[in-house]
Amino acid sequence: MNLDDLMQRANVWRGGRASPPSGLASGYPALDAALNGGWPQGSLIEILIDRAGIGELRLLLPTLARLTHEERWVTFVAPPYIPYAPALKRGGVNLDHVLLVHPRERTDALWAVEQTLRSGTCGAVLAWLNDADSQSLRRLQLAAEAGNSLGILFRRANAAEHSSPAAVRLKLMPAHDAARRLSIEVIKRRGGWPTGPVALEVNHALARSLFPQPATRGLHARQRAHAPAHRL
Amino acid sequence: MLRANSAAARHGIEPGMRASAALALANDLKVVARDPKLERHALHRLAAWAGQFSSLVHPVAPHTLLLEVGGSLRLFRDLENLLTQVELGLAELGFEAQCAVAPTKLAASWLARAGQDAQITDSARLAGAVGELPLSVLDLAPTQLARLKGMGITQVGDCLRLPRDGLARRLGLTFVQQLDQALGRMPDLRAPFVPPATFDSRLELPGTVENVESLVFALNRLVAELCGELRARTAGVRALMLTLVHPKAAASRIELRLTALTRDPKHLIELFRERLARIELAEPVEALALRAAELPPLGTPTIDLFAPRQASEEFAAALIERLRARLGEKAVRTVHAIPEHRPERAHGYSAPVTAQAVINSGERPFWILPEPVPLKQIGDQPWIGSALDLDGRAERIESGWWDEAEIGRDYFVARNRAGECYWIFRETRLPRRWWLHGIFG
Repeated sequence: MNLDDLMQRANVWRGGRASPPSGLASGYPALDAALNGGWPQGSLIEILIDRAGIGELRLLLPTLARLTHEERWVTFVAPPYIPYAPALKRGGVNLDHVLLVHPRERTDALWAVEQTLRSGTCGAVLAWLNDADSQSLRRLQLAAEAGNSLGILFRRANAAEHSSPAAVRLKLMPAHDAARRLSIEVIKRRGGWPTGPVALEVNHALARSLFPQPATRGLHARQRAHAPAHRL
Repeated sequence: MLRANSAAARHGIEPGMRASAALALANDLKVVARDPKLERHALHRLAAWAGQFSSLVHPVAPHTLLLEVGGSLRLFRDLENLLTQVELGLAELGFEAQCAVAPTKLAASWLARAGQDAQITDSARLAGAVGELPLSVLDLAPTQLARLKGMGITQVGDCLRLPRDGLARRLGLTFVQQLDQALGRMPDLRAPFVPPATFDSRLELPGTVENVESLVFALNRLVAELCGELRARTAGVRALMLTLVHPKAAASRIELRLTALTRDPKHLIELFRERLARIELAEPVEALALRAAELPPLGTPTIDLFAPRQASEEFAAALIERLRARLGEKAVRTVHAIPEHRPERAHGYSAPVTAQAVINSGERPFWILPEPVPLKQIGDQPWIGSALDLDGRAERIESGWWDEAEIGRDYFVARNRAGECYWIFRETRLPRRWWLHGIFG
């Protein structure tokens, strides 16, 4: 076994990291606070929604952008629609590390999620599994631990009634007061009790906050564009 | 009878028996005839495989393989370890071998033929060891053998004690020269074996097989052979074709396309296992054939402690291949954005490509036509001013399932009488028309 193989193992703690990999910042400070420091790595995260299109992907966009820029793969398994490449790109996602998997059957979908989680190359696996039983969820939780990967499962809201081995369970609803706002109810989290609904603003400005670089680059470009005007 | 299996041996059948005598002992005996062509093919396959132990390999019909191992000893630590590796490898391929080591090619093959596990590394001991060998190990014509027996000679050593000129007169000069070569008094120069540029091997199964695990078990041999040859060439494979031969139905084919070059037998077996588990066999399988049309170079892996990026690319390639093997090639893809205002054209799909994969393309013309133009055809012959001569082999391009513009074409570089050079293709599907696509400026 060489060092790379060892590094692929989730149970190896690497000293010298700036901070222990306790949580992966979600890009939304309010959510990070509610989750006690961001997404817990190497675990399952359930996102319970009744309708697609309320901003569930935008919530994850900063995380996906960051992972793909670290050259870890992000895999979509059985997405309900086609992930639109230009939007992902605008959100800062490095498309070279995005993989789409369209299994035909449910068992194949579960298998694909398990393989991708376990492989250790995927930073996050987004899967749309409506009818996963708790036994398969447990398998997926173990696979996520083995591959130190985020397994993000989108499930129907009524799944909240059943127990789940996922480390984090979030129920997403559109906020009543304003558009582009999400109301997040933390049903389960590591190291804490469930919280009441957390309201979040999900938009691109916030999504960039994890990425100072593109924003400053844009700023410089604007300044340079203005410079000739000043000279004139 | 050359060989008998254990069931036949219980009936008292022994090697050396006549077929009629053996059939008398067991009337339901299944006699399989020897196939010299198949044996030669197997020997050449083994020679290509053995290239991983030595760069100088000589297959000698009908069943001898010579390896120059002096130069490989350091790589394999010592002779003992090298021989173990060779024997284990051969056993994995389903062959038995008698190995002998000697300073000359002929001495080594004679010792092996005599059934001796000799390891003679010292030239001083060579003459003594060769001298004790019986005459039967030599390549002698029956008349020569009879003449030697008539002279009361039973061992090679007896020949060595006779005067050379007399021996040469009675048995021919080549016989004396052979003795000299065996003892290292005369060089024994042979052209080294150069393996063919493709891998093509076939395995006949002892009976028909239907079960996936048994197929995978048999396939292990072919894959071990392939990976041995790939190690010998420091090459890898990107595409493999497995053919399952049925007794009556048309053969089933499984094509494996990889995202990155590999020569890892475990990985290949795992991919084939997924594919085999997923196909419906029309009939049981009686033979397997594995073919790799291209063996592109793949460097030896550098053992680098701190190369996580390269490693993760390899892991990613392996993951993508596993997914594709089970879910099908079309189920796994990547997206890309296209600078384009029309929303539906601003994104596209492509087959996943990892950093290691490079699209290797053949020759490309400097001018390309905006659209392929149908060519004038006379019979099957494409025509521009005169009949077109095709240069070299076809470059097959079959691709594009992800964007609904799937193509299947065989491209050729073609020349007409006037010396003009064109890039033309023929459709792989009926009606197999010819098209002009580019001009070499």
